[in-house]
Amino acid sequence: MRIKGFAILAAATLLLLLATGCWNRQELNELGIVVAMGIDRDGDRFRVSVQVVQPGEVAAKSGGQSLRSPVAMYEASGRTIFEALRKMTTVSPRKIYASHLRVVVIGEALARQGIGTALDFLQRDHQVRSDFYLMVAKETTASSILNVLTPMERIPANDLYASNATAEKAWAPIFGITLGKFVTDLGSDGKQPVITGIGLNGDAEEGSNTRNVERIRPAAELQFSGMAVFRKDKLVGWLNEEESKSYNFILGNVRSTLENQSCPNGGELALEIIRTKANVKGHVRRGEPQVEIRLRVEENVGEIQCRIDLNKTAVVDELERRSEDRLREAMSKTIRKMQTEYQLDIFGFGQAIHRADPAAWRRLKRDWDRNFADMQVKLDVKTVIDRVGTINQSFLSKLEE
Amino acid sequence: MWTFLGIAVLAGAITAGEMPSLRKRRAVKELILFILLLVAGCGLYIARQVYHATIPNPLDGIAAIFGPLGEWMSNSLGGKG
Amino acid sequence: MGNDGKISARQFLVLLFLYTIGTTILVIPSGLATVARQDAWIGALAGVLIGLGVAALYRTLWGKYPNLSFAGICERVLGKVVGKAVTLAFVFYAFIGSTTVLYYVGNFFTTQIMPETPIQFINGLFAVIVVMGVRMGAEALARSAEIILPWFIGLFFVLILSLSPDLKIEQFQPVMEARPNEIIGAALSFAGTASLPLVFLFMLFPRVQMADQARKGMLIVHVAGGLCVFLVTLFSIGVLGADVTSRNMFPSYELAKKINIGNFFQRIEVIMAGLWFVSTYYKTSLYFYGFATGVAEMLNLKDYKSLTWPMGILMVLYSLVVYPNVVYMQHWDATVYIPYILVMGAVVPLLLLTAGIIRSGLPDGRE
Repeated sequence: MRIKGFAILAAATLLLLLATGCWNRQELNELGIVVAMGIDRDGDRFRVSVQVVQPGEVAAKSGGQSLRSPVAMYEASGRTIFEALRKMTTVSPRKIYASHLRVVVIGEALARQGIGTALDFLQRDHQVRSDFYLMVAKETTASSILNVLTPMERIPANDLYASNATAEKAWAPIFGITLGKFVTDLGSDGKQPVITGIGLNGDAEEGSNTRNVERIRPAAELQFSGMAVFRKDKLVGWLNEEESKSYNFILGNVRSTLENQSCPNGGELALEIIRTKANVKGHVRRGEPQVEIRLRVEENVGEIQCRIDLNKTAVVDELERRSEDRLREAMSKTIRKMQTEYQLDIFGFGQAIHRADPAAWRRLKRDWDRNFADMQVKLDVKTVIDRVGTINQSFLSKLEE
Repeated sequence: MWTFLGIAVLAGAITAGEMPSLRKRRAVKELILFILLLVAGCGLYIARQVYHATIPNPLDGIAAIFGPLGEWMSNSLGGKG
Repeated sequence: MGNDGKISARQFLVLLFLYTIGTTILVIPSGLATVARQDAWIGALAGVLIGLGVAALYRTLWGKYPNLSFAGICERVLGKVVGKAVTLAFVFYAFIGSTTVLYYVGNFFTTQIMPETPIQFINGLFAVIVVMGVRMGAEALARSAEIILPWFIGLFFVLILSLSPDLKIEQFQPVMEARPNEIIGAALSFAGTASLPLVFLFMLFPRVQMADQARKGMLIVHVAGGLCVFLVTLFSIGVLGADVTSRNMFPSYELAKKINIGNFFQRIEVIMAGLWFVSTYYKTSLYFYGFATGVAEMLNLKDYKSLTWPMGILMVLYSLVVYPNVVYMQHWDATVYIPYILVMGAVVPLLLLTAGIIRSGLPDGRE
């Protein structure tokens, strides 16, 4: 009996040794929780900057006015991203913990040289998840972007993330690109990738100071600009607002946005787009690739700045027609620019051809840039104006009288 | 050092757990096999972990037999293996 | 025969279901996507079909010798000497099976969750539970499976339901771009992990009460398990895309990472990993069970239970030896494994069945 008891005790002790968590225990106060990462070029190395949460400073309320910034930034250079991150322990008291990444910003200089090499780590590491947004810093470095404190969100990375997510639903030129999306497009022969651009307005020096958010109007602000266009993994150009808008329309990314239009009699009015549905269909006719884009837009009248008689259906029909023309023109202009100036299929027309006719695609994809540049694109836009807001006739029509 | 201790305690615990019932039932065959397997298991484990001996990998043997066929199958049926 | 209790037909079917899903759900979608790209789901369906045939074969063989284990059947049909030799091979296969599956478990943990932990400790801890389960006998294993099943199905439903809105039909197009030989390759690898290992359940068969009922439900349950894996493959392609699926080592885990309902129900992928935990546990346990009982029967031992702990040590040790690294694993699984498992999973049972028919007529007594 005693032996049995002893055996049980021994076994229990042994089992403790099998407590497998020992090697991977993470104490919360040893983690440097990274919320944003910036990658720039530094000679032939990567310069990685991380925005780390300072836990005590993020929880507001207690303690009154805190004198520290809610986040800290660390930078290090290395030949690989991994090396740079580990090297940060020379300045940071905690080890980098990347599971809460919200945003990865890539400096424009690095983007132009090619970002493929920087991205392997983000896919391979087990801590890094796939739900963060990628961004390219426009005309600046990634570390400058990360260096700005933001008013509404204590943690700037959250600000960037939320801003991207919100803008994607409310402003056509912006769409959030996740790492997964970028890598998939990179690997696909039928589409070149794009990434959202982020820029810094104002005084960068002031931006990193808490004074930046102590005033009503911050001295430095982060603002999204249009989409950056890539050939494979190298940045080759930027789309302006109009072009980014067309891009997102074609891809069906637009959830809601607004569209300015000119009134028949001069003046402007604004239409609020509430739903879009886009369909890209590929055909191969006589060996030539063709694509037909069908776009359906539902919108309401949002703001009227001219004299227009909303009681007449003919007027609304006219507005619809003008809207269709406008969209069609903008889209075909953007497509033509990508065809002639860049010869870059960012819209995924190649993928559409692949879906439609795999055999022909195998032939066409070898020289797809050329084939894309020459291909015919048909646009079919249909706009429907549903409602006009809470008032019908604008009081402006009474003003002149 | 620790591995030795660990294995010793483990073997001891297992034996202590099983011995009584084996003795009671006078299961000679089982006892022999038990000791055999235990010694083999602990011995090999220590050989590998402490002395870094190379334990022959049965999968290599299996690969020797089925390898060529397997390679051919993999190549003709989709390749990227 | 066995003094480890009887299991009911229903319990058997639950075990069968979990065993089918086993490691398949963890490792197969990636391989399928590498071979068949966006048509991986078609490969999976074809694999399920193959599984149907395989399960039917086992069912027939079982029905012919309802009270015999695999060792018993070998001896009856092939005579003492040849029978013992084939049983030896069977036992060897079962052992290798348990070690490889144990490695998968450790590999998953050290890749995705705890990279710094030495793999022998994860394998060791897992093996302790496996040995405990097998030692307590088929009855205990089956009962625990019955209890766990609702949780498993519940979590599985959460996975499927929360990801349904993220399916994108373009990820599947163009359909049927994969060539037939690629589909066959995918189907074979699917069946090789989900269906052919069922042969090791032959050690379990004699323990099953009301075996006719068990046999009746066998095909459907096996197909159901296969369909679960098919669903995961389908969703991997539809949500992640063929490219990401084939590049990732554990696409189903990557899939679980994407669950996000209202920005609240998110980051729960480790809970989903519990799913794989359960299915691989039963696979390992049943492999080990086949090994232990097989050895016991081969050497005419009275019971297998006393040997389980030492065998467990050997299992853990060999789980470290068998795949020196992940690259070896991927290569071996894609090449050597298929013909290897085909021998024990298809050729031998067919042999046994035909030899048995020649000897003593068809299962229902016809000559």
